[in-house]
Amino acid sequence: MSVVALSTAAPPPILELDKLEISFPLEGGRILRAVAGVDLTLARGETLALVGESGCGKTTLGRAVVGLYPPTAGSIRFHGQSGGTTARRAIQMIFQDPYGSLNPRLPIGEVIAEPLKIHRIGSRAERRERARELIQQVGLPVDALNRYPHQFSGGQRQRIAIARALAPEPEIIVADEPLSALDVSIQSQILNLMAALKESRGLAYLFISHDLAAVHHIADRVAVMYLGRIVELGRRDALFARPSHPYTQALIQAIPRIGQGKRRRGRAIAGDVPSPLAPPPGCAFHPRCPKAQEICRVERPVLASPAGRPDHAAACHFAD
Amino acid sequence: MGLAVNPLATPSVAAATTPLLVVEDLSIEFPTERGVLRAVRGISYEIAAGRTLGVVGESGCGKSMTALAVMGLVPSHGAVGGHIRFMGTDLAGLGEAAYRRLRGSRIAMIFQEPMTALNPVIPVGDQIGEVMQLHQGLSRTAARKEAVRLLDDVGIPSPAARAADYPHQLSGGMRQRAVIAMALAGDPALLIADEPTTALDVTIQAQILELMLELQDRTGMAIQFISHNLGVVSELADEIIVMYAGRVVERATAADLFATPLHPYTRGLIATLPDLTRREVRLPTIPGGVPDPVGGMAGCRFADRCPRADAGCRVAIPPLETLATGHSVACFKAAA
Repeated sequence: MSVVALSTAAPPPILELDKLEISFPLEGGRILRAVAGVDLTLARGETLALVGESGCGKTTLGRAVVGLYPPTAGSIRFHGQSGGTTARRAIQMIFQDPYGSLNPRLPIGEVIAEPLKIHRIGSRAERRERARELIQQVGLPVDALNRYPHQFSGGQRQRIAIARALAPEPEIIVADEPLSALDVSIQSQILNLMAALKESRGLAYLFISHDLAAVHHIADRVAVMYLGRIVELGRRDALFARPSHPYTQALIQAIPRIGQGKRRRGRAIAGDVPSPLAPPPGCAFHPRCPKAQEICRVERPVLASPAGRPDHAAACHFAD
Repeated sequence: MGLAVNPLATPSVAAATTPLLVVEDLSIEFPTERGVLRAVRGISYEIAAGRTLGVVGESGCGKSMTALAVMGLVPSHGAVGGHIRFMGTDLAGLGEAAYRRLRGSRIAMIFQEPMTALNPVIPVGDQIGEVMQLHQGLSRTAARKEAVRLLDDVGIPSPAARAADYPHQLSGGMRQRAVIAMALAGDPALLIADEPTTALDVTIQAQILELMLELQDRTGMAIQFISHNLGVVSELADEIIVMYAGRVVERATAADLFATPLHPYTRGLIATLPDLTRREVRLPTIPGGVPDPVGGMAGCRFADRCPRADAGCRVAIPPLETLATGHSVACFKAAA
């Protein structure tokens, strides 16, 4: 069985992760394999969601894509090239915490122009003009440029973070849980803004989230991660309508839904996510899996297309 | 208050017929440099024994402060007005010592971050045992045995071994289970849970919600469940109050609230949620943000963000009115 490269129809990928591995040495000679061999592609204008629970490696993967961690093995290629300043400019990031991610001592105008300064783009006046355009594009008034981060609400700060990410005209934005620190009524504003920017600029997003409802709203394709590996990858509609991997099924089952009444029991899978320092042998999900058999404890399933689903991939001996 | 008899120790006959908790016209204010911060602006609700009240709202709506008031834990510079009656006793008249006996026994509270309730340098079994020694007068050995039983009750595997673990040795989900075990140690009639699953992964959240439902079935405790997450509240609550800027704007059974939300804020909250069964290009939004809790604002606090507001909404405060259906709403323009 070979690993399926899920090419999304026509457009060639602008980002390719090939057998990407990110490991961290720990004290005592132990090694944490946060990302344990991941193949993924991202096309121009595409939103790929990366979902999974804490410790699955999704944040590490996102940070590696923006160049914060070097690959331990495998590669990250942007337009066919590994690393380099082009990628660093063209791949920008927004973070979960809009409070911690903005320098509190800089006025917003300088916060937004900072990436331009770092990449030596434009004159001072040009950078200032660019900040003026960007602040309006994210739905804030121009006078916001002279104010400081603490004068804004969480939702407004996330807009500022988005404006800053847009400054060097990126092709890809890695968004790591961009909604989870925001109030419910503000989350939909940010989701709409991200969708509009994608439309107007042909941006691609790597949207990292544990919120499957938001993922369902924004993603074209979805990759599900568990303990450093992709366990399912597919187009959004197919993945939500017919999840193939028991872990994806459990995640979708676990989404709290409104208006279905009290006491819908028996939807929770048992157990905790195991430590990535000591992943279980065979399929890492087997201790929690309702379908697990002997083979699951011994042999790690590879990511492959289930029968009759060429556009879909799951790493499970008993994939649906 | 006398030491011999604690009126709150056992449910009285009256408690069986009147609601367990009655909150009446509760207000909480804090002096600030900019003026008075009015965190809670005259709210009333009740919880019956064995029922779950969901309290929904965004940050700053007053939902956590309300819970702290029931616990008698409002920071000392705050002014608390109104009445809180628990099992027929007005808690305002309770001395500090009596309140301390009540907390951790008949009323218990769990928080979003389990580490706020756990001492990092004491094994979890000992911490739970301490509660039993304090509130139930058990011996050290008996308390330790009970602690292991409680850890087992909340679904912690190998409870005897885990009892010797320090909090940092447990996962986030296991820690929250340990905190729930500690809350149960006092045999509470009311458990206040403030965003208890917000910091947890979604599969672990589902486990904790199931655990709370199961424990409620087993013990008959009432739950005041506070969350910003409508889905979570929907799966747990019998009745729900929606809070906005310090006031209750809507109150209904969980079924009614989601089937026929009446307040424009509630309708907006529900509409803005991405849904797995439909996918719009643009999600509906609620424009703007919550008003400043300091300083006055005439009329309805939601008026500036409301699609239905007119001049009248900016003059008078709409009272919470109960319709024939039992559904209550504080809005002049409520959808019928």
